[in-house]
Amino acid sequence: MISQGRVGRFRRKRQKGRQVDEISSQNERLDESELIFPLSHASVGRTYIVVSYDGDDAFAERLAELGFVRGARVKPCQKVFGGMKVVINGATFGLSRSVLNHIIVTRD
Amino acid sequence: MIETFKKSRKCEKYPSQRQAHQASLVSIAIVGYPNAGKSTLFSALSGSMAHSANYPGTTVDISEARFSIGERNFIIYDLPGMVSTLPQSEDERVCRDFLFQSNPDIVLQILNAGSLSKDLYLTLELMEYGYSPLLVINKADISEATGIMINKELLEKRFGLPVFVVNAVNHETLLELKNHLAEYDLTRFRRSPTPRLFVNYGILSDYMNEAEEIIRRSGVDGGFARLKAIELLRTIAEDGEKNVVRGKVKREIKEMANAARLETLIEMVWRRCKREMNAPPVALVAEARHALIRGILSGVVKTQEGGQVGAKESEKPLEMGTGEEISEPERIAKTTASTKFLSFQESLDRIALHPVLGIALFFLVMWVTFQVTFAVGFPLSDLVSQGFNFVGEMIKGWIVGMPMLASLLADGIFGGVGAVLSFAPLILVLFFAISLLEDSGYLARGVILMDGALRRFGLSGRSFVPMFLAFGCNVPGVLAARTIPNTRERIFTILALPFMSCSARLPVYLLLIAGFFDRRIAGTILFLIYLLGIISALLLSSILKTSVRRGRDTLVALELPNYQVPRLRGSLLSSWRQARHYFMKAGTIIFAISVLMWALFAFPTQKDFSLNGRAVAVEVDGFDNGLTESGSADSPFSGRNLSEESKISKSYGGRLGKALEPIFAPLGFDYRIVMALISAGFAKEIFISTLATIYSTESENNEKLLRELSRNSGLTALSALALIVFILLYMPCLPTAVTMYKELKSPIWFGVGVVSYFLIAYGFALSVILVGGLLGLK
Repeated sequence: MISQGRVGRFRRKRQKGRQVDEISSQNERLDESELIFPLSHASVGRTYIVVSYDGDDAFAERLAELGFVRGARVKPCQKVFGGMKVVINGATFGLSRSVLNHIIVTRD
Repeated sequence: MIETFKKSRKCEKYPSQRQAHQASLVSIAIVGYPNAGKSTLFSALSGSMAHSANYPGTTVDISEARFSIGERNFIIYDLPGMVSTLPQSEDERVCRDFLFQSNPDIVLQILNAGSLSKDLYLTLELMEYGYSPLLVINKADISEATGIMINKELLEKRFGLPVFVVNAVNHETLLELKNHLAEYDLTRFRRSPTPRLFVNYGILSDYMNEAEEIIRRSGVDGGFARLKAIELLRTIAEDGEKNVVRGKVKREIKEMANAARLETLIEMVWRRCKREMNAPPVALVAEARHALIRGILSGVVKTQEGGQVGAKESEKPLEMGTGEEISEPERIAKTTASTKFLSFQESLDRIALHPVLGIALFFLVMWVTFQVTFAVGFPLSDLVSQGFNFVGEMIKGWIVGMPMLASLLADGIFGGVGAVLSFAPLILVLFFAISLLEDSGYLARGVILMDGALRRFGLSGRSFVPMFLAFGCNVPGVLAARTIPNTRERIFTILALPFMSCSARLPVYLLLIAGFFDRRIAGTILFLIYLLGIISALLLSSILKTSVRRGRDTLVALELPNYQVPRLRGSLLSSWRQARHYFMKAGTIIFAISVLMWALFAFPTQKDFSLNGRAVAVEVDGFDNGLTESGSADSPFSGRNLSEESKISKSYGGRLGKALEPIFAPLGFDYRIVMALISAGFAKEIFISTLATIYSTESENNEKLLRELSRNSGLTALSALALIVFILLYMPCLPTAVTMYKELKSPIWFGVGVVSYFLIAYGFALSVILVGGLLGLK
């Protein structure tokens, strides 16, 4: 028999998953005409400033460690199948679409 | 000498480090970001070659080597790459635990000259925890080519640490570093209990101070109170209804003296960070550190355009010259050598990462890799196999009068070891090819390219290389899945891996295809089999994705290194190291299992074993199934063959095969095929040798075996196809299964996998029979 605590944890995780999905789909609807938008909608060749992170805390932590801190300038270099190649602080990264959707930027 | 030892979370399990202290060796740990050049420096300093990077596909081993400079003797450790001391994957955890628990005399951090501000993040962390890392800035030649100039003296002054600018592949640039190591003042740079550097954490400062004090007083920090205080901030979470979840916090702090106060502090600061800064606390920790790095780098790094990396300028990315809108300064800069270099890299990426061309190129590269692997590896594998057969026969000739012992040595031990070692050339060539791809910088691009496609199936780009490796052998593929930080995706990847058609299965396909199909369609059938494996893997992960609760996705943010010509020597030694890892893991198990298998089919022994058993066995042990037919005068089953078959059918393995025969009857497999399938569960290539034993042919004599199979096995082309499908899917071989069990760390998931494999295999094989029957095929 599954304990009540386990069911609770399961529900919470599922809700968390849904929340992340919602953020992702909301971000998909934003585009560059907005003041802030996800990096996935940024144009290649322009420079953007990181404004905030969305989604999971672990995402935000690792992104910040890699240099995607708020205020940092990021430049998309090339759209890639399923992601984007970006340059930040001289380092070139390949970011998957799910990551791009969670980095909120504004135009420099 | 390179020695590889297993990872462990416990300091006590690092005997080599303890021995280093006992032997008065100066220990050096090389740390750094993935692909910074740690292994190259390790090789250059020690004179040995090693390879360690934690892009998917590489192991999480720690290599060590001993060397001397002057009168000082060193032991050097090459650790896997890590981004920060807060691990998000197993390999990062291994690296951090080794570093913090073994406490080396010198921590040598290697930094990439092209991305100093990112790499210095780890430096700051180490200094906060009391370390004084010796900074080695690598790839100076590339940074010069890209127009980056580093003021080494200023950086030394700001950090108070020795800094060396080197090119690890050029040994002359390492002279200064080597001289320094020879005269290094060890007492000055050992880890201090107090931080070497202070970071202003803003709204987190009060929490840091108080939490650190509580943790220190509790004595559970192991000397890393600040790290523990930061780690605790990761234990608090929010559920979908914005409720704070503290379960993990309570578990972590239950042994601490002032747990209640600490719990309150954690929750307070976490709420405040979310409310005021709209970011998790650990992200704010990272932001504070990056702010300090910007200050430190101000004036230290200059770009060719005259830009400065530091303060606000530090956030200005290097101009890469892409996109439609090109400003005037960029146009001028394009004429310089640095821009030429970058343009070249860009051009390569435009093709390699192109949504259409990139994918096509990627599959072409993979296809070429396989072609080369099989073209070079198979002839060598055949040679090894023939060598073992020859030795086995010689042993049989030497040991006369003790058939049991001769059989154990020749068939059990030499047969089993030969089965493993015959795949050595294939595996070595495959690892070599992958190592070349990784060294060239292309493999990281492949991961990004495949992410979009694999994500639809519950996997991520990081799943790709383990899956690719699994085509060579499933065992290293399962091990490579450790680099996937997300548990859910790691489990899915591991469970899907056995569907990748490993090289051991290929000889089985080739045998059956050659025996039952026209040569003209053999290639197509082989291709479809590989494709079916991939489809089944994606099908299983899709089923798991929809039926298992959703977790967070893997963060695929890989640094894309510059393209470079791969170093052959490094790739060769890397492939050897990885192949050895496979032999250590799989070889030992297969050796034991080979003996077990031999026993399974050799026992119970029959009374007439060493007598004129053949004729007697026909009389005594004659069995009904097919005997009348096969025993007829026209049958190719001679008295000798029938006796061998009889003995095997009376063995434990044979009895099991007969018991399971009704289950496989709808697929058209008789008990002999079932026996071979049982044995192939231990190692797929054994399928052929078991059939060869059953039909009493030499395993290398495929023609005779094919003749026997087509005449006496009851298999038709359709059931042979079903058999190929079944062999592809029905279960991983035993070494893979053992590795999977260890890596999954969950009997439930392992059980789910085993049941799924059998059901999917049976379902597909039955579909082949049914659809083929409907189409009128036989």
